[in-house]
This record gives sequence, structure tokens and C-alpha cells, in this order.
Amino acid sequence: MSTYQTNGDKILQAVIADEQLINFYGYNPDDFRSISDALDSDIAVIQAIAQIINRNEQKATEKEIYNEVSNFLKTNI
Amino acid sequence: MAAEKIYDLWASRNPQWEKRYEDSIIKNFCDYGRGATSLREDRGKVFGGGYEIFIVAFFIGLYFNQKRQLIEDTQKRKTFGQPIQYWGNLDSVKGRKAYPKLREYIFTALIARTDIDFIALEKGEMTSRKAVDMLMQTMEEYANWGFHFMEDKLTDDPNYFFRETAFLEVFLAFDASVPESTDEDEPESLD
Amino acid sequence: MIIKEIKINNFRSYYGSNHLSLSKGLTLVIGDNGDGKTTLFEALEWLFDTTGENRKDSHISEKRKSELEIGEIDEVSVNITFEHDGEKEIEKSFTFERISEDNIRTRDYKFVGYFIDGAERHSIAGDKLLNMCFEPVIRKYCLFKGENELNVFDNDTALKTLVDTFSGIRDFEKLVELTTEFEHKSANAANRELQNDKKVSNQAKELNAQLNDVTNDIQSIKTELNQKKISINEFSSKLELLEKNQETSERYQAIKERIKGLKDKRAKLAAWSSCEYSTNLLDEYWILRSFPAIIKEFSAKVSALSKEKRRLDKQETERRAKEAGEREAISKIQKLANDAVPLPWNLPDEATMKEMIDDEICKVCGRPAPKGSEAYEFMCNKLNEYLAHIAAEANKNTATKEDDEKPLFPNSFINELHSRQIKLSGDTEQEISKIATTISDRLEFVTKRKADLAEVEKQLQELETEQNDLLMQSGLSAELLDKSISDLRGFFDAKSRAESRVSELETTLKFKESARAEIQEKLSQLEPTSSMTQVYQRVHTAFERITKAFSNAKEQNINNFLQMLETESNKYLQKLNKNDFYGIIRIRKTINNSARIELYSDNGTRIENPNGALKTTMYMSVLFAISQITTLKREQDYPLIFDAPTSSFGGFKEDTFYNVIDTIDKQCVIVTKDLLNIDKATGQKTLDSDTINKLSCSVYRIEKIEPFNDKDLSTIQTVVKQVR
Repeated sequence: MSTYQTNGDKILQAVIADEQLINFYGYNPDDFRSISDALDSDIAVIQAIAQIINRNEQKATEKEIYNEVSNFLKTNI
Repeated sequence: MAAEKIYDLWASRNPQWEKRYEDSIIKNFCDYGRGATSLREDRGKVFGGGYEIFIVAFFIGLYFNQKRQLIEDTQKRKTFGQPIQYWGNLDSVKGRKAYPKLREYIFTALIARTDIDFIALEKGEMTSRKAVDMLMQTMEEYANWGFHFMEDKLTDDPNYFFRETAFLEVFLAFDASVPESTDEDEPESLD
Repeated sequence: MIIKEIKINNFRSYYGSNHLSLSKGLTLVIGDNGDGKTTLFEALEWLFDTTGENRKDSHISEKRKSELEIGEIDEVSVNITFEHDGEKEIEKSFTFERISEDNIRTRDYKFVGYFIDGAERHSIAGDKLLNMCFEPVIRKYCLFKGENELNVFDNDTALKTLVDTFSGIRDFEKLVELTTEFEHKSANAANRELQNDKKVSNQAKELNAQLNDVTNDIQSIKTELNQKKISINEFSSKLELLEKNQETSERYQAIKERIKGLKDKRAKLAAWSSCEYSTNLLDEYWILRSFPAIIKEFSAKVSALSKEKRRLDKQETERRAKEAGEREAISKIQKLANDAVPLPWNLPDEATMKEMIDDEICKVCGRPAPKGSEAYEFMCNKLNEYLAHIAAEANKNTATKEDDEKPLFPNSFINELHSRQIKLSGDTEQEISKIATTISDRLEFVTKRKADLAEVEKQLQELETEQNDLLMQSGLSAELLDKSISDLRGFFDAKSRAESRVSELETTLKFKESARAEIQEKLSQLEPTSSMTQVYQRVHTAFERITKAFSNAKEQNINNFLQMLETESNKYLQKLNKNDFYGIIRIRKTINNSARIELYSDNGTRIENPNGALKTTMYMSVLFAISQITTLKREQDYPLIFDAPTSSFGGFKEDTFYNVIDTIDKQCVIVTKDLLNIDKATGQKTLDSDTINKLSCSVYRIEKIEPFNDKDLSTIQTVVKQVR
């Protein structure tokens, strides 16, 4: 499918393609081609990465993003 | 008691010169009138003590062999602060060298050019004082002519002697050749 | 974006209306320096300037200005029509009116864009349209005025800009920063929990302390590493610069040496060329120059006097001797009765005589001698004679002294003068007769030294001019050129030292980093009793991994981009150089997060100083590559406009070069003075029609129309003519 890839999508793909990450958490990066896909994922780390990218695009502050993501991770990792 | 020497008698004297040359010449080329303690450079004149320009004037008159009587009125004459015996003693002046022997040469010239009856003097028929007076007169009159010469040049060209080489040029114009001596060359011994 | 047409009205030398239709491939604009090449560029720059209202008097065509009557109005405008998702147009203009003989008023500034939507033509603010279609960062890589602008990496932020703009992924940097920050925060949070947990708090505290220490160490090592690497960079560039300028530096040094030598000579000569003309008359006795004759007069006179004195003296001595002799010859004899020889005068003595006279008796014979008698008289006479004799003796002594010691010449002035004369003769007189020569020698010496000094001054000036010219031509600073071999060596050594230090530091860093990893591992392996603490640990670990992933992805992105750029650049390089040697472009990341374009030969050695043409094609290849990448990423194409980059294309055949560019699927405008033949003798300019006819691209000629006066701008007019 050639849907339009936003900048965020591209970043996401680049990041989750990291081998070490794949090894640690065991997922298939092809399953998550877009931010929205990743945000829906039940793999915590994938979602966390998507959140970071997304919230940054939305111009959230560093504090906000940290709090949200760390809280998310606390309950989900 | 050592016999008095005519040289010493002469050297203790102080020649006179005409006051009118004070501003036009002496003060222009010497530090005359400003005290002996400051350095020549600071004052910017060619020569130091006033007597120096007097010496120059003297030699000009001497070499031209021209004399000029001093003005009668002694009120219009002056002397320098130092008698001849001190002329040329310049140790403390920066950039200059002492020339003490010049006094002796001046004396020599005066003896040669003054018509003193030395035999009479020797016999005691003339006082040494009188003889020295005559020497002084010669000295003063040569210098007086020299001053006159300088003043004349300055009237024509006020900048004349302010040129670096002006004074030297005056002396370069005279003949410097050594004449053949007609008498025996060796002076007789004193025996 | 494809530019279709450029219209320039009354902009500087472009009097009246002028236009260029651009081809889809290469458009060549040929003109000499001063014909209006750069002005064409500046017209476009003016059009694309979105920083604010910009209407200057200097933009107006002088010629047009001079033609205006009072009250007349005309317009300056630059306009492009282009294709970019439909046909669009952008124009910038302002009007100018002559209000008096010396005064022009400008107003009605307009910067407007047009686009077609459906069937209608809409207008929009010019800067808005421009930023939508041809934004500043893209423009930066499209317009190149002069060769110096061709190196896109020449400033530190270039790489970041390029990556952000063209790699397709923006803002990695920010995310890496964010995640790194999160990692720290979560680490701190986890550690705090550990230190509070009853079971592991001691170990946690201990490990944290160690962690702190090693983290600080790592930090300072990294700082020093960075510094050292920057230093190495500096040394390298300095060395490069020095080596490149070795020859110039040597020449500079040689001139400097000579100048120093001359300055020393000058100082000496200056001292020798001065002379105390006046005071030397006294101090050096120069006033005695004409004195020898007077010495002679003096000597003659004194000799004569001395002789005369001695003559008279001798005369007198003789006379006195005679007198004294006569006196001594005379002896007095006493008379007695009966002619007897009288007693000597001293018998009887005085006392006896006086007694006899007093007693009035001769005590020898006993006869009385009463006063008045003959005998009495005789005795008195005898006493008187005795006394007279004594007196006479005494007088005789003094008289003799007086007579003997009363000299003819009581004074010795002549002797004094004679001594003086003797002193004068011989050496002294000789010295004085040398004075004339001394003076003339000295004057001659001074004159010669003055001449020498003038000569040295002249040479010095020439050298200093040479030195300045060298500085100007090389464009380097005196400071740099002053560097001698020892400095070169110094830099070399310093660089080596820094490099070995870097080596050391990197080893230590690795060691410390693994130590840190160990500690962190230990920390994470601590099993706190509290499950909350464990959660914090896990969160931290997650952040750690996320951060690493982001960081790696960022680096990967840059590397991909550079790799792609390198590959594309080499494709263009090959095309542009065709069969000639071209080498291989490598794009290397540098210390300070920038990049460098380097050229390597086939066997892997770096080509340090590629010649002009090679260098230009190298940079142009990169630019073409960037443009190509842009096209891929943006699905939009942008034109490349070069102002005279080909001045160093000595070794290339123009037709080959331009035809190659024409075939590249990219709109390109090259403004150049190539293909213009200038007759050195007459200054006449003609197009190289033969070569031009071999070209496939479109060609324009711009030139100033004759006659014109370079000093009077109002006579200058550029005319645009299509040649092909």
C-alpha cells in the first residue's frame, strides 16, 4: 500500500527498525508502518516511541511528554 | 715665586664685544643668557655658551685678516660670564667634546698678529698688563669684524647661518695650504 | 518548478523591458564582465527576497531615470512565470517618478503572485507564493552567485540543514535530545527508589556513588576528547594551509630577511650620514683648517724674538764682564811717612784704636797724643780708615750683587713663547695641517653615505611593495606567512601529541564506559523488595533502549543521506567529465557535525588540491545530486542557476560540457563569459559561433550597447538577445 508517509511515520520506521530493539522486545517492524498503527499497538515500547514522536509533533513540552510516557511505561512495561 | 706667564695673564681676561650683536647673532646661535645647566638639545641652538660664537667670529676676522674697532661707548659693550681660561671645557654637555687646546691656538694667533715690542716687554720697559691689553684688543677687533661679517650675511639672507653647513662653508672658503717656510725649519734650541 | 520566462524592466542596466525564455534543460546566458551577468542574478535575488519591502534608488535604471521629464512615471519590475503544480507568476515592482531635477520619488511597492485555480487566475501575496513554491532553504541550493558559493558544506550548519531538508526525515535531532533527557530523568528516578528501598539501599547508594564518579569521568574525558579533536582539526587545517602556502611563505620570509638586512644597513648609514658641521668647528678643531699659515707666522716671529733676545743678552753679558774685571783689577794702597809699608788696615783693631784715642796716648810707643795734635789726628785717621774699609767691603759685596744680578731681561715671556713654539712644532703642527684633509674626507664620506642611504631607502620601499603585493595576491595574513619551518614542525608535533592523547583518551573512555555499563547492570540487577522500585528500573531500561534506538536511527539517517548524496554525486561527476579523469567523490562527516566533500583517485589516494575545473565539476556534481534528491523527496524539481562557475573550465571543451548538462534532466541556467572571444588588440567581442552551433541548449547573449561611458551610468544599457 502506498499511503502517504508523514515525517513522523518515517521516523518511527527508522527507529523501530533498530535491531537491538527488535531483539529485546520481539516484534515485527513491518506491522507498524505509521504512527497511528504504533499508537494502537499493545507492545508498550512501540507505543511509547509513537507517543514521543507524536506528542513532539504536537509541540508538547518536554515535561509533558516525559510524564505521559513514563507513566504509560510504568503501567505497561 | 714662579714667573708669571703671559698666557695665563691673557687667559684670565674676558674679551668685550658690542651689545648690538647680542640679539641679532649671539642669542640666535648660542644658548647665551639661559644658564648652563640645561641640555643643548632642549634649547635647540647650534652652539652652547655665547663665547663659542665669539670664537667663530674671531676666526672669521683672523682668516680674513680684517679688524674692526669696538664702539667707544663702553656702556654699549658686554663680556661673557667666563674668562678665556674656561673656554672649551665642556665635559658635562651631551653630544659635545671639550676643546681646551683651542684657547692656546687663539693665543698663538694673537701673538703672531699683535705688534707688541716684546724686547721692551722682556726688559721690563713695558708692563705685562699693557701687553695683554694689546692682545685683547686684537682679539676683540677680529671678533668684532667677524660679527659684522655675519650680520651682513644675515641681512642679505636671514636664513643664512641657520643652514646646517653654513658656518663650515665660511671656513672652507679660506685657503688651507701650508706655506713653504723661508726660515730654518727647526727652531733653535734654548741653549 | 520550471521557470518559463524571466522579465526584467528598468532594473539597473536592464533599461526598458527585457525578457528571457528558459528552456527545460540548459539555458546559456553569455556576456562579458560588466555586461550585466551579475545584474541578472541580482534581479532574481531581489525578486526572491522575502525579508521585507525593498525599493532602492539604486535598483532603477540610470538611463531611464535620466530620460524622465518632471512628472513622468515609470516602473521597475522583475517577473517570472513558472510551472509548479500549474502555471504561476511572481512579480515584484515599484514605480518611480521624477519630481524635480535632482529628485526621484519611489513608491507603490508591489510583491504579488498569481496562480490558476480551475479557470480563474488568483492573486496572492508574493512572499507567500514564493515560500510555498520555492522556499528559502531550497533557494539556497538553487542560486549560486560565483564559484565561492558552490561548496555547500562550507559552514557548520550546512549538513544539518541539508539532512533536515533533503534526507526526508526532519527533526531527528530534537527527538534524540528528548529521549536522552528522558533516559536521564528515569535513571535518576529509579536510583532514588533504589536508595530508599530497605533491602538494597546501601548497595544502591554505593553503586550510585560509583556511577556518579564514572559518569563525571566520562564527561570530562569526552570534553577533553572533543577539545583535542577540535585542536587536531585546527592543526590539520593550519598545516594544510601552511603546506599549500609553503612557497609563498618562503618567498615572504626571504623578503622579510632582506628587509631586515636593509633596515639594519639603513640604521648604520643614517648614523654615518649625519655630521655635526658647526660644532665640529670647535670640538674637532675644524676651525683650524687655515691655521697652519698663522702657525708659521707665529714661529717666525718668536724665533726672531728669541734670537734677538739672546743676542742682546750676550752683548750685555760681555759688557758687564769687562766692567767687573776692571773693578777687581784695581787695588787700593795706603801712604805712610818715610814710605814705609803701612800696617794692614786691620791692625790695630778697632777696640785698641778706640782705647788709645780715648786715652789720648799711643799705647805702642808711649807718646801722649792729646786732642788736636798730629799724633791724635793720625790715630783718628787710622780708625776711620779701618771703619771705611769695613764699610767699603760691605758695599762692595752688595754693589757686586746688584751689578751682577740686575739682568738686562728681567722677564722671560719670550722664553715662554719659545717653549710654546717648540711645543707647537713637530707633531702638533702636522696634526693641524691634516685638518683640511680630514674635513674634506669626512664631507665626502657623508655625501657618499647619504647617497647609499637614498639607495637603500629605495630598495627598502621596493621590497616593502613587493611584500604587500605578495600579501594581497595570496590573500593570506602576514601572520600566517610569517610561520617558518619551525612553526610547521611545531604544529606537526602538537598535532601528533594531540592525536596520541586522543588515542589514550579513547582507550580510557572505552574502559570507563564499560565500567559504567557494569555498574548500571549491577544496579539494574539489584533486587529491591519493593515492586515499585522494580517498575522504575524497568521504565528506565526501556527509556535507555529507546534512546539508543533513536540515536542510531539518526546517525543511520545521516549516513544514508550522505551515502545517497555521494552515489548521486559520482553519477553526475562521471557524466560531467565524460572521458576525462574524474576521480571519486567522498563525503565525509567531520568533528563538528558537518561534512566535507573530498576527491579521491581510483587507487584510493586523496587528491588534495583538485585543479579549478575538477573542483568546480566536483561541487556542481554535488549540487546536481542534491537537486536530484530533492526531486525524489519532494516530487518537485527545482532549477539550478549558476553565475559564471565556468571561469575555471580551462581544460574542458565547452560544447561537450554544456551539452552534457543539457542532457541532464534538470533545468539549468548558466550565466558565463565562455564562448565569447575578445580581441585583445581592439577589445571587440564576438561570439564563438562555431562552438555555439554545436550546442543543443538555448543561448542568449547579453551585452552593453555601444556607445557607453563607464563613468556615466545613464549611458549603460544591457540588451538581451536570443542567439539560439
